[in-house]
Order: sequence, then C-alpha cells, then structure tokens
Amino acid sequence: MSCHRIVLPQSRRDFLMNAGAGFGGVVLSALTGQRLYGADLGTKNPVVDKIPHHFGKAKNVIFLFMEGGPSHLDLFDPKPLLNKLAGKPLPESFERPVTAMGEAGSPLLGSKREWKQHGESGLWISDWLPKHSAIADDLCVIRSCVSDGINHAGGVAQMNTGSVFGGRPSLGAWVNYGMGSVSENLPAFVVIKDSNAMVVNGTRCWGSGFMPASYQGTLFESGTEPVANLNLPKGITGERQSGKLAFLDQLNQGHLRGRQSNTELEARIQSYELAYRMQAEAPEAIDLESESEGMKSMYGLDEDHTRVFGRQCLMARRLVERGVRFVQLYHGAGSKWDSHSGMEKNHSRLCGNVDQPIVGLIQDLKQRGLLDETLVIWGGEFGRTPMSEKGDGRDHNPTGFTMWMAGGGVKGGQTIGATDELGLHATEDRLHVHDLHATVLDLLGLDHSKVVYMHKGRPERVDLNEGEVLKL
Amino acid sequence: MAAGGHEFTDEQKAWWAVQPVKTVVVPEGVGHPVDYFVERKLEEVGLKMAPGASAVEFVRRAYFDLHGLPPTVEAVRKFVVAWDEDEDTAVTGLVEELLASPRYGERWGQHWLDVVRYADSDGYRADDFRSSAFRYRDYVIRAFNEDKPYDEFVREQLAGDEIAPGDPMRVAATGFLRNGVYEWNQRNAEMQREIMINEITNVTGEVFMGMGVGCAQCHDHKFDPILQKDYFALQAFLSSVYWPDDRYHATEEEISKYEKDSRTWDETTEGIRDEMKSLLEAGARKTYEFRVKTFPPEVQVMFRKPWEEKSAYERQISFLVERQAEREVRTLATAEKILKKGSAELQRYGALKEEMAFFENLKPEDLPRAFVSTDTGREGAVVRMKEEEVSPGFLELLGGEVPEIEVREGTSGRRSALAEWLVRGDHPTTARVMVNRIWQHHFGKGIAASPNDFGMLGEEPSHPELLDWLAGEFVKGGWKMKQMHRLIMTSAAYRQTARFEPSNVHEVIDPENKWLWRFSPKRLSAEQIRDAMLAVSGELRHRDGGAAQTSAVPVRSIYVKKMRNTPDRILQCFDSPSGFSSEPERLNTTTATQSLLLANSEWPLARARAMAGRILGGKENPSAEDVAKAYRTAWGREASDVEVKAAVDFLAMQKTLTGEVLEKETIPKMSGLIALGDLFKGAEPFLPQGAKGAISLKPGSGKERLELPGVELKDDHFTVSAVARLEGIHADARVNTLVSQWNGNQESSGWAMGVTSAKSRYSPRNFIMQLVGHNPDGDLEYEVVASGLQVPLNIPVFMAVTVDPQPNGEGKVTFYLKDLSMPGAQMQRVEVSHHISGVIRSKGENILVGGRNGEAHLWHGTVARLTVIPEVLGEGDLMKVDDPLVDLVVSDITKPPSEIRWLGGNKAPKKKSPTREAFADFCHALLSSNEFLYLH
Repeated sequence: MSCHRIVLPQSRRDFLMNAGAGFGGVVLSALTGQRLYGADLGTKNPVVDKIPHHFGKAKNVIFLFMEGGPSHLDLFDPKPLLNKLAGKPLPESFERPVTAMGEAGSPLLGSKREWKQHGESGLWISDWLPKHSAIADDLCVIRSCVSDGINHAGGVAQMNTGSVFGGRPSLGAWVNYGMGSVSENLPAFVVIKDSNAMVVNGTRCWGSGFMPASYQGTLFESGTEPVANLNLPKGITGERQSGKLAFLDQLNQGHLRGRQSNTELEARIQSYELAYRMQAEAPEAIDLESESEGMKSMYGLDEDHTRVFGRQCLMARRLVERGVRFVQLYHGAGSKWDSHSGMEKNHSRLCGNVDQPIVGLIQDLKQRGLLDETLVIWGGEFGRTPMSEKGDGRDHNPTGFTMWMAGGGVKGGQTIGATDELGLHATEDRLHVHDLHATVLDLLGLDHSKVVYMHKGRPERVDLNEGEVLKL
Repeated sequence: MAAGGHEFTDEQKAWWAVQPVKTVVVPEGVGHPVDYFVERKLEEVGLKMAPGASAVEFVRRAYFDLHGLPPTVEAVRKFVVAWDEDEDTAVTGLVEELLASPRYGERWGQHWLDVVRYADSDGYRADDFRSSAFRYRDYVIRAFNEDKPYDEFVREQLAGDEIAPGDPMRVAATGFLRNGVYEWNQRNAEMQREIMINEITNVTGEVFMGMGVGCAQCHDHKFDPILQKDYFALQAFLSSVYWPDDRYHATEEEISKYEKDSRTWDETTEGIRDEMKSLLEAGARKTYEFRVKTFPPEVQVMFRKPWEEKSAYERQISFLVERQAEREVRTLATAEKILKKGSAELQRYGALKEEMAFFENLKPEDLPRAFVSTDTGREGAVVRMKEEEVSPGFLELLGGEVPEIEVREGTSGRRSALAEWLVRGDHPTTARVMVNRIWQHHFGKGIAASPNDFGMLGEEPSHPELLDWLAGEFVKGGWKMKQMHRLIMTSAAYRQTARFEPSNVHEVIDPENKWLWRFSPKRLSAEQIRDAMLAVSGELRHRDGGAAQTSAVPVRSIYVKKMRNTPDRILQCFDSPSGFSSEPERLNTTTATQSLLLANSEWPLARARAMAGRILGGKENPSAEDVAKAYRTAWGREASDVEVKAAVDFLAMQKTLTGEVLEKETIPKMSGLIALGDLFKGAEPFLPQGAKGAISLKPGSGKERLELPGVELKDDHFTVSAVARLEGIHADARVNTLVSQWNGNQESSGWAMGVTSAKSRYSPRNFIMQLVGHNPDGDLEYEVVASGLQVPLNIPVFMAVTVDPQPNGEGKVTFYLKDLSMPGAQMQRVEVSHHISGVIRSKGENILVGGRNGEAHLWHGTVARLTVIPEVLGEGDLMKVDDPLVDLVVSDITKPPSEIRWLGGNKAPKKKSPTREAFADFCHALLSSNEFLYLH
C-alpha cells in the first residue's frame, strides 16, 4: 500500500492528527535538529515556531508510579524529631494542613525504620528498600515535592496532567506531542498496570485531554490481547480477515480517486497498514520468553513477590529499546499504597514488591547504555503525614513529599530540597508538580514554555504557565 | 470607554468582538444574501464557488447535518424525484421536513451538550452516576425541536429557577449550572466551593459570551481587554448557586397529588418506618458525625450554625458538607453494615422490611428527581478580589454598566439580570456566538474560527459582514435557530459540491478553504458513526428521551450513558469529548486504534451481520441485486456495474475463506439453558426470586421448541405472559411463535402467541395472537388478532395477552407490552376485538414453547419466564401468579426444568452459511469504508 505521492498537510496540527495515528510517522526535530514538519509550509500556526531545537540528554521516560502515596517519612526522608515527638500532637509552630481524613490534630506517629546512608554519595534510604543500596549513587532524591491534590483523584490527576481536574493532556501526551514517536509500529506512550484494578480516575490518567487522541497513552494489558482489539474477532481466520481488508482497501482506493486533496482519506487507508504492523509487533515487544534466566532474575521474575512488578519493569526496558517514548508503570493500581491504617504491613509488602525490580531496571538500563537517555521517575501522587491515623497509619500529605529521578542526564547520588523537621511541609527548593513537569520536559530537551498547544484560541502548556525548571 | 478608571488602549477598544453588531444591508436583486457575502470574498481573492452538489450528495449531507443519520434508501429516492422536478423546491422541502423531525434535536442537542460539558457522572474517583442529569439533556433536545428562541434558551439555562420557578421543564435548564465535575470526598469545602463557582463562571463566559474569561481569574487577561475585576464582577452574578438534591421534576399540582396519593401508605406504614429508622438511628448519626468531623474546624463551625444565621456562603459550604455526610449514611449506614450479623435487631429489621413490601401496592410511583441549580437564598454570596468586595457588573470595556437586580423569592435574582444583559439584543457577542456555532456545524468551521473565544489572539472572522448580517437576522427573527438553518442550507455556498479538487491556484491562495471555494469534506463524528451503523443495520430504536442507556442498547448515542471516567469505547475512539470542559469543536483524528476497532471489535461486525440479515432475509445465496441494495443502504447511492461486479467477485472468493464458523457461542450446545446475565437486566421485578437462567430458543440450534406434557388448558378464557427477548425475525412472513397450543391447521381449534416477521401483512414485529375457534354461528374461524404493538429486538420485554371471547362475538384480546431495559418505561396496553366466541382450546395438543406444530414458525430469542393462567387477569394482577397452570422459570441452568421436554433431536450446532458470512464481510467492509465514514 505504498504511496509515493507527497501529502502536504495544511498545518502541523493537521499533519499530526493525520499522521496515521501517533504510532509512528512524525520524526522528531528535537532529536534531528531539523525544523518540524509543517514549519516550512508558511502556515501561521503558533505552535510551529515554538518547538525548541536543543538537545536534551533524555530521550525516553519510564515513570514508576506508586499509586496511593508512599510514605516519604519511612523511605527517603528521615526525621529524628518525629520519633522524639511521637504520640504528641503537632506542635503549634507547624501550619495545620487540611487533610483528607481530618487528622491534623492526631498524635504524631514515629517511624519504625532503620536508616542508613548508602553508596559513595551517602544517600539516606530506609531498611524498607534494602536492595536500593546498589543504585543509591544513581538516584537524585527530591524531598521537597508539593501537590495541590489532597485526595487521590486530585493528586493522581495533577501528577499526571498538571491539574487536579480532569480534561488536560497527561505528561506522556505532552512528551509525545513535543517529541513525536520513534517507533513506527508501537504507540509512543504505553501504560502498564500491576493488576486488573483500575488506576484512580481511569483512562484519563493517560488521556490526551484537549489534544488529539493520537497522543494518549495506550494501556497494555496482560493476557493474550495486550492492546484492545488487537486480535481478530472470535471465529474469524487470518485469511478471511485479510480477504476482507483487501476488499476494503479496494473500496477505499476507488473512493480516493478524484478526492486526493483530502489527506485524511489516505491517512485512514494507511492506518490499517499500521494497525496490521502493530498486531505483529506489540505482542513481541512484551513477550519476555526470549529474555535469559539471568535477566529474569535480575528483575525479580524468579520470586513470587517481585514477579509482577519485575515483569512490568522488564517490559518497560523492552519497550524503550523499541522506541517507545514514554512508559508509565503503575504499582498498586487503585491506591494500594494508601495506608491510613496498618502501614507497617502495607508498606513492608509493597516495598518488597518493588525493591528488586527497580534495582534490576536501573542496573540493566545502565549496562545497556540506556540509562543516560532514559529518565526514570519514581513517586506517588503525594506522601504521608507525620500525624497518625487510626493509631498505626498516616493520612495523605501533598504539602511535602519525596520523588526521585535517575538517568536521563540527571546527576545521581544527590538529595535536593527539604521538608520541615517533621516532614509535613516542603521548605527548601519546593518542587511543585508544575515544576516537576517543566523539569521533565527540560531534561528531554524541550522548553516547557514553548511546547504550546492552541486550544479554544488559547496557548496551553504542560505546567499551566506556572512551572519553573529545576536544574538537576 | 474609560469607565471605572481603567484606560484601555486604542487597539483594545478596536477589538472586533466588542464592536456593536453592524447593520448590514444586502442590496436588492443580488440573489441569496449568504452568497452575496461569500461570493464577494471569493472574487476578492480571485476564486469562485465549485459547482453544486448532486442530489445524492446533497441529501446525504443534509441528513447528516440536521439529523446526524444517513437518509434511508426511500428518502434518497424521494428526494431525487423531487430534485428532478425542481431543485430549489426540493431543497427547501427537504430542509423543512428534516427540521420538523425529532431527530433534529437529537443532533443539534449533541453540539450543545459538548459546549456545556454535559456528562452523566461526577468525574473524580467515585465517578457517581447522575441518574437524573438526563432531564437537562432532554430539555436541550426538546428546546431545539421546539425551536425555542435562543434568548429564552439562555435565560432558562442561567436562571430558569428565577424566571419560571413553577415550571419543571424550564427549571430543568439550570442543569447547565451543575454539569461540571464534582468531587465526592473533598474535605477542603471552601476550596471546593471556589473551584465550582470558578468553573461555572468560566463556562458561562465561554458558552454564552464567547470569551475565555478564565484567564482573568488570577490577573488581567494577558491578551484580551478583560480585567481581573471583570472576572469577579461576572462571578458575582453566579456566586450564590448550589445544587439542591431534594427537588422534584414535577409541577406543584403533581407534587400535591403525589402527597395526597401517598397519604394512605404514609399513615399505614408510619409505625413500621419509624421502627426501622430507630433501629438504624444511632449508627447513622455516628456515621454522619464522623464525616462532618473530618472537615476543617472552621468549616464545622459554619456547618453547625442555625440555617437562618448562615450567610449565603456558609450555606453553600454547609451544603457541601451535608452532601458528603449524607452520601456516607446512604452507603455505609445500611442495616447490613450497622447491625450485627445474626442479631435480634437485624432480624427485626428484616421482618419490618418484609412487612413494608406488603404495602408496596399502596405506594404511588415515586416522583422523578430534578437535576437543577438555584441560589441558597435571597442574599447573594459575597465575591472578593484580593480582599475587596466585587459587585455584579458587566465588562469594563463595554462601559462597566451597573446592572439592575431584582431580588426574587428565594434567590438573589442576579442570574436573571445577567441573562437579560446577554440577550437584550445589543450585546455584541451573544448573537454572534450562536450564529457562528450554527455556521460552524454546517461548514465544519466557524466564521470566527475559535467559537468559544473571540479573543484577540485568535484569527479575525473570515467573513465579518456575513457574521454580523446573520447575527442581525437572528435577533430580528426572534432568535429562532431553525430559521438560521433554512437561510444557510438554501444558499449556493452550502449547496456546493465537495467533489471538486483544488488546483495549484487554490493550494496557493487558500489551501484551508477559508473562502469556501468548495464544500469542505467532513468525517462523521463519533455519534454519527455509531448511529449510522445502527441505522443501516436496521437495529436503531428511536425514543423520546429518558434515562441514559448503556451502549449495548441500540438507541442513539446521545442517549448513551456518558461516564467521565469510563467513556464508551467506540465514541471515545472517534473523538467524542470527555465532558470535563466546554468543547466547542470536535477533534478529528485518524488513528490505528480506530482501524483496529473497525476491523477487529465485535461491535461493527455484529452490525454488519445484522445488515446482511436485513438484506438477505432467509436467502442463502446473495444476488447482484442484494449487492446493489447493500451499497445503496450504506452509501446512499447507486453502485456502478464495476462496483457490483467487484463485490460479487469478492463474495465468490470470500465464501471459500470463511472457514468453519459456528453459530455464536452463546447458543447452548447441550442444555438449551443460558444464564440470565445481562440479557435480562431490568427484568428482575418480573421474575421470581430463584430465577437463574433462561431458555434459549434459536432456529438451527437443535434446541428450538419444547413442550409441556400433561398440561391441559380447559378454558377459553385465559392469560399468557412471558418475560422474553426477541433476537431475530424471519425474513419472510413466518410468525415468531413464542407459545402455542395448536397444530397449526386453520381447521383446528387452537391459539398461538407470537410476533410477525419482515414480510408479514401486518407490519413487522407486530405482537399478535392467532386464534382458531367458533364464531357466534358455530363455524370454525381463523383470526389473526394484531395489537399494533411493536416488539423491540434484543431487549428484554414483558409481554402478555388475555383472551376473553364472548358468545355474541364481541370478545377481545388485551395485549400488554413493557420494555424492561428502560427504567420507568410504561406498560403499553391495547385491546383488540375479535369475532371468535369460544372453543379455542384444542384437545390433544400440548402447549409448545418456541413455535407451534411443525418447524416453520419458530421463535428466535430467549425466554426467562412463561406463565399460563386459566383466567382473565386485569392489568394490576398480571404478576399475581397464585394458581398458574404453567409458571416456567429456570432456577438451575445446569438442568432443564422438570416440566419441559425438548422437541426434535440434538442436532449439532449449525455451521454459519459461508455465503451469508461472506455477505456479512461485504457489509462490514462497507461500514468501515471511507465512503461511509466521510461526507466527501
């Protein structure tokens, strides 16, 4: 179905919408240094001139989303004062936050963790993540993250889309929009969950909001059909389907004659070709059988408690290798990290699930030379309060929490920012989610203030015009 | 224009959108006024209009534009005949006909719903279903169908509760103010209120004023001369709104009638209800209090003040607290959750509940709930900008005029003042915004390209004079929208062909077709695609509004439940917006995901099979005429000989590739029984407690008919009822017989209850009773008693007949039919008289289910319950099965009910016919083709 006619899209936006799907097609200027397609057509679309041309180190992103809100106070941000004041109310000198369950007045809960410094850099990591010691010098821990969402819905929405409301494009969509896709046959933005449970807010966490659907994330499910409608309908043989599609192509080619000016028609014809290639390539990309036993155990596939997330991490590496731009892995889909009570049990188990797989992922990326160009982000939608809830849990804390980054040109083995003495509010180098998003774009070589999408007559940005880049 | 002390620059003052609408005069004798403007522009740039569209191109465009549906084959034929007589008359006639149909409101209502961010759920995590939001959707559809003047449409949506408090149909319009998202567990109530009021302010600016006022929330607008103060002055009109949950969608008379009617029930059950309540009271109070206490202390203080002492603001906050606490009680403070398992209290509660059920028949049907907004009282909620109070006011740039506000009964009256300002006729944007939207949905692009934001950042209108002229006509003509369609659709500009290829000159001068040198090709929207597939497959069911349905129900997409977090896959895939913000334009993507859905998902394939069945009837081998008919049905035009031959060749090849396709797996191979699953969703009230499954009766399955041996109906007066689904009809005139006691011979007494087929003398899917008995003269007579009630396909229904012959030949059959899939659907009842006076019962014939004697008149579908009662029951007693002759229910799907015996052997499931499957593939290709998906 090759076509040698040159299609002239009327604008960059038209081109992107019809490039057969966001699965391939658009080659990226930020990588090649070329101006984006459409820029030379003399159209006045404001987007065109605002796409930057500088090189970022990172080309791909793997976002490890610990959904529900892991406790920074028990993982990366030790607070001796917390243990000293355990059982007492929050001192008057601390500003009282509005919390989801109204726990501002509850007694403080000490941390039961043992803390050590790890690696040459001496990064603080608690004994809940013992294996992380091996990658301590690769991590850049940011202790001063801030979000506006006090509930899961708002928090997850903001961490993904910049807004506590729905309706905006997700970070992956912005990256996809700004950078385009390398892979011809795979989506540029893939999401994998650890269970059948749905992520809070559903598919809009990886939606494209007001942008064309071609920028949205594609959910890869486990099982025999990784992508919706990838397999033939029940009872229909491949031969029969090919016969039908060939006839459809014949109908469409006939229809195209005398209508060539409508580039959408051609794009739709080609989208069948893309769909066909995807049917072949997507299952291969996430088929782990070809990986060696050593590789599998590196990711923890040989142990029950790490197998699920290990598989996700290994798939993420394979997808990145195949040109997928943005991979988001959910661990604890459906707020499993949420620990209003019984945090010891909850976090012990969940940390155990992710410890080895994350270490395996970082080390594997490194040995393949992929870590430099792959930005790995770890975190949840918020952290947890120093105040207790129900005696042995912690409430949501969006006013100060920890995330970390590794690879993608980020300097490892450093700690950035700080919370107050109890880990309640971020105090130094506050990194709001908007700043985080701007920073991610920066690491990818995109100027967040110039990656603009016109919507309803207004220029829209990933950071709602509020973010500032933190140089890492 | 320096009112209020703010100096605007000359450039700002010259912003086109705020200039008064110019009175544009179209000179006499220039032809169609719209063309006068369009042609002048084309001339200026050195281009001209394309030739006119052909009749078939035009009729398809007009149908999709006004109805969102393809024209039927018959509609195309009729239009072509009229066109051949006189093109202009044909066009005018068609436009009138289309505007008069209820399908019009269903299409144009959808455009409006996009703009007002309509959805059937809350969004956020819980994404609670808004079961009565559809009242607003139905209001919108009705407004378009009734050609409600736009000024009234604006007034009602902003202030229906103020201007027509007694009219639920108009108050329903205030659903506009509560279509936004709502977070069910946000404890920061003050922030939540702020978010909600800001959202309402922003959406009001975009929808009615065409201004992106949201940008001025935090600072003066960066691009447009809208001040931060303007933002808050606009907000002050809207700041007192809240969302009452206790209102009824009913008139005062209906409410007082309801109260009167429920008095007996109230009084009879008062003691029981009180006791039930007291059992739960402590737990409920605890649950409620627990929730209230999770709010910040200052919010709790506001909440606990007496209502009269609360300010408007505090009332709004209290409402938000109360809403969460009540939801908690509703979901957590149930008897099962509060009372200990096995406790005496729980037992007592259960007993009381049973006792209550006993009085159910005394209770009138609940009044429908409203989905409306209003103010918390006469006082307006104070709006502040940086501590300073801001009063309601109009844009500074427009003179910053101070509005006159008349406080109403129970509301601040502010919103009506805003509405009046918007629609007073000389408002610069109101009329422009709406005529621009109408133009946009006809031509694919507005005259002003950014329909929600006429801001300075956007392009200036392509045809400013035309925009002003249309706006002027709109206001002059009483804000009637249908008149705008007439004006636009009769113009040569609209009647141009899309089949005109640009030359180099076009590519250079106007590649985007801004100047309208042809009609711009369009892809069908998400709803148009789904609806068109259902229409050509023959499955689409029309309805007059009502509760939202799941996508599996073949109603138009505007009636499909729009859940924000779990959107319908088909509609989302083709770019239907998610409902989080006002969306004036649809994106139009072409993705591999769409191709995968079209080619591999079961849904389009099922439509293709239905379409094939509709065309082929029972025929095994499709003819060239069947092929031509399929083309005609899908594409609305005659196929060429070459196209027909290509399809015939395809069929010949494809039938060799279909392989071993067995009939759908849902056909039980062995038992003939099937779990109720979703098939009978909604039928629960008509099924006894233990019902677990249904009997599947499918022609060709080997499980087609069964008999009830030893059951003898000894009376000519009886009632037959069933809970069943009809899943297909015969392509010829055979009857789909559900139950019978008759050998099928018109010379023998008997009866059969069934539904007519495609070629019946009575219309298809007509619910009928066939009777053979004596007439008053004592002669045997055969009579078909037809109800005229149409049995829907693939929908669970309750259907019943009572047979009551009279010696004088004046007996009658009463038919009952109720759609069980739609909550609140009425029981339809029809009485039809007949001549047969008696001796209907047949001796020696068993009662058969799924057909009658012989294998011809089979039922195709499923039956979950069947009763035969040897007396004539009244409507209220139909479900009272005290002493049935038959009450057939499947209580164990692994084992057939003991009273039945299958007829015929266990034939192997039939292979699907390769020729018919190939034809379905042909239909599938047509439904996925670009000619089907594009108007080009």
